[in-house]
Amino acid sequence: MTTNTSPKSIFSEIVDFFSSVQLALVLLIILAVTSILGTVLPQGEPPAFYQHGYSQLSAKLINFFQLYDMYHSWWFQWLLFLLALNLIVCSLKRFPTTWKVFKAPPRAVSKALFESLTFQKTLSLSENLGDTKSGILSKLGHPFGKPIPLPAPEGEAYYLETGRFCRFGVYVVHLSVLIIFSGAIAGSLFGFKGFLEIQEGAVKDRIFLKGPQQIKQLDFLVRLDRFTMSFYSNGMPKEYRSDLSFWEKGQEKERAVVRVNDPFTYKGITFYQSSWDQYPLSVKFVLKQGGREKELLLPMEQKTAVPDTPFSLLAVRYVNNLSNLGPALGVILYKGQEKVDQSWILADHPEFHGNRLGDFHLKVKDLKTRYISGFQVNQDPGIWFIWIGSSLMLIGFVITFYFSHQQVWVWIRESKGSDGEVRTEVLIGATAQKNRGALVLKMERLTEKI
Amino acid sequence: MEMKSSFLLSLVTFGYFFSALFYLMALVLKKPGIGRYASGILWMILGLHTGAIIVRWVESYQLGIGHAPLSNLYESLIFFAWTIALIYVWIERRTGSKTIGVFAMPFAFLAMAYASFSPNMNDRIQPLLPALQSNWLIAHVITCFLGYAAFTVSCSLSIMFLLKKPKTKLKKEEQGLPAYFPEIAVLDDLIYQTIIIGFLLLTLGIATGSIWAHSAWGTYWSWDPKETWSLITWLVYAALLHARMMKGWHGTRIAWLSIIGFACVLFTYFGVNFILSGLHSYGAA
Repeated sequence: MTTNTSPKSIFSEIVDFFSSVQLALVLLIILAVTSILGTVLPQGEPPAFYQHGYSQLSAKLINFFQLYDMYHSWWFQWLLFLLALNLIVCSLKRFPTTWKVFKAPPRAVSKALFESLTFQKTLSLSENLGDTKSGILSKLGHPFGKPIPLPAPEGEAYYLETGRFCRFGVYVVHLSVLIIFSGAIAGSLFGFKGFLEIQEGAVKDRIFLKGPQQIKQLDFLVRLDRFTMSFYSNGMPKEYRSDLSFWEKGQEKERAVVRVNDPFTYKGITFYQSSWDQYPLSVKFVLKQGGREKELLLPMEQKTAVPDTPFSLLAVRYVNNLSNLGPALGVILYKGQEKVDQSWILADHPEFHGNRLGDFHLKVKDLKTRYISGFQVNQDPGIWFIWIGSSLMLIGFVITFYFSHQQVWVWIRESKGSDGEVRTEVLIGATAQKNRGALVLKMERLTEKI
Repeated sequence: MEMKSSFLLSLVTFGYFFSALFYLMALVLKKPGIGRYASGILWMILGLHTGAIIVRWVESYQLGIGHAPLSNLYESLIFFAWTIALIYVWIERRTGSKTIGVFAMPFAFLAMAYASFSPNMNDRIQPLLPALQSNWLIAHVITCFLGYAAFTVSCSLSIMFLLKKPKTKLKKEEQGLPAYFPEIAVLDDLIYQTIIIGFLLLTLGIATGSIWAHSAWGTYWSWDPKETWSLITWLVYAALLHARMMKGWHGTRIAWLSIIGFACVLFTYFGVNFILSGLHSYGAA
């Protein structure tokens, strides 16, 4: 800051504004309060949801402020940007001072110095200077490290300190927030999130990206070799497991097992087990007509003639669980080219009265299905920024909360008492960058037994 | 199968009730001797509580679905009460004051009572769904609840501070019960100490939670209500710490902010589950 008294320049006023703690406090509180909105208002619904569910004015506001996706809205991003700016400007503005303090040599001993310190103690001892010195310095040396001799107007002076690096704790925290922000930005700019479904035995080389219907071409092939599920005895799912293999130029390069909570990364692209489905291949029916029974193998989506009749059957759909009644097949009955009947046939409920088409009663004897496994497929080049940022933040917190720069000065002089006896006078003083109460307690404990 | 742990845990619930009651009697009747009983009960019950959690853990292995007992609301409440008792015991040893127990122990009792007596509470040991089978989840739950407990104790201390502060101008005999609380400066320092512990653990909890989410779903942050409310809580305490460290806020204002922060903790823990999920399903209907 310049020493003249002219009004502050606009530049320095802007810097002051963006570096102020007030701005930080206001931004933290605004972010906290506005974040509530997105937890109350359903997010990511289609526009019609907001038009029908809310008044016209609300719907307009929701649209203008992008409240349907508020954490990615323009104004929320602006708030985050302001917070980042606040952190940067405040850190840049304060850092030179901190650096100066960090580099500063210990202050020389004087009466004035000791009077300015948080903790002060004067002792008058009968031991000689040498014994006193070694006694005190070894006591203080344990928590404060090696004593550094300082020039003294008379007698001897020493300086001890601990935690000089703590001056940087707050910068570590601020930097960590910026690293996390850059990780998030890197992820959204250079990464992608997509989805992939593969049938057992099938091969895929492209994935669907989230958001606008986009397809991403992979430069390798993924094959689902096997999908398996296991269950606990009470029927709850225990494990979903996909055995994948990765192929390039007709050659298998790598095999991997992907489970929930246990993803696999190939060439920087990570596959997460996310869903599953079943894909029917064929179904064997027992057909009952009048008193007669016959078996018929029906491949999916292939119109198959019922022998000795003018009828044929076509299995068009399969669902895993129809209204909690288990697997079901959508089957159409044809007479020649004409559609006569259609129904859901329940596989697990053979006697269900709806299991009929025309005169036929259908019973599922053998259902051959194949699994489909669904994967979340991501690439996030920012993820290491997130982990490094989070770790730095925790380290920064521990430094700022639990350590502080503590400085101790010791000044030892000989003085003559009134009876002419030579005594050793010791001045001990200490200060701390923060949490001074703890320093005073610590110093009292250390100097108690001298 | 009848759980031994359930029986032990209902004993724990009564134990915390009597401990809280004895702390209150010691203060109201001005008989510090009763406070020693309160502490004695608390230590015994904390031991029993620890044992019961271990028994429940062992029982889950006997059922063949072994996992740490931190997997549903019931188990989380049990663990929450345990962390409150633990943090409180540490504070009591540090300060030597038994009056804090009057305000802190009811929280431990309420958490246990809610777990034990709520009609909708499922206290069965259930196997873990695939998404929950992660060591990061265990780290996440432990750090979050230790953090929540530190914030709980901080809130208790803040209430004491607000009760005592207006009386400080009076003579000690005219202050009433707050005269027996720790000094204003001690309370102020303890509020700060418990908040930094809570803040550190909440940060660690959010970080381990996002590592878990990343390994389970491939996204470390998805702005779901629970995540967002934990961030709101974090922002409130971050603002409090800036106000205290940089603006020199102390005492009353910090105490109120600490209570607001604790309200956010409660909402993150319960509100999101009961109110917001309700809103969401209502909105979707």
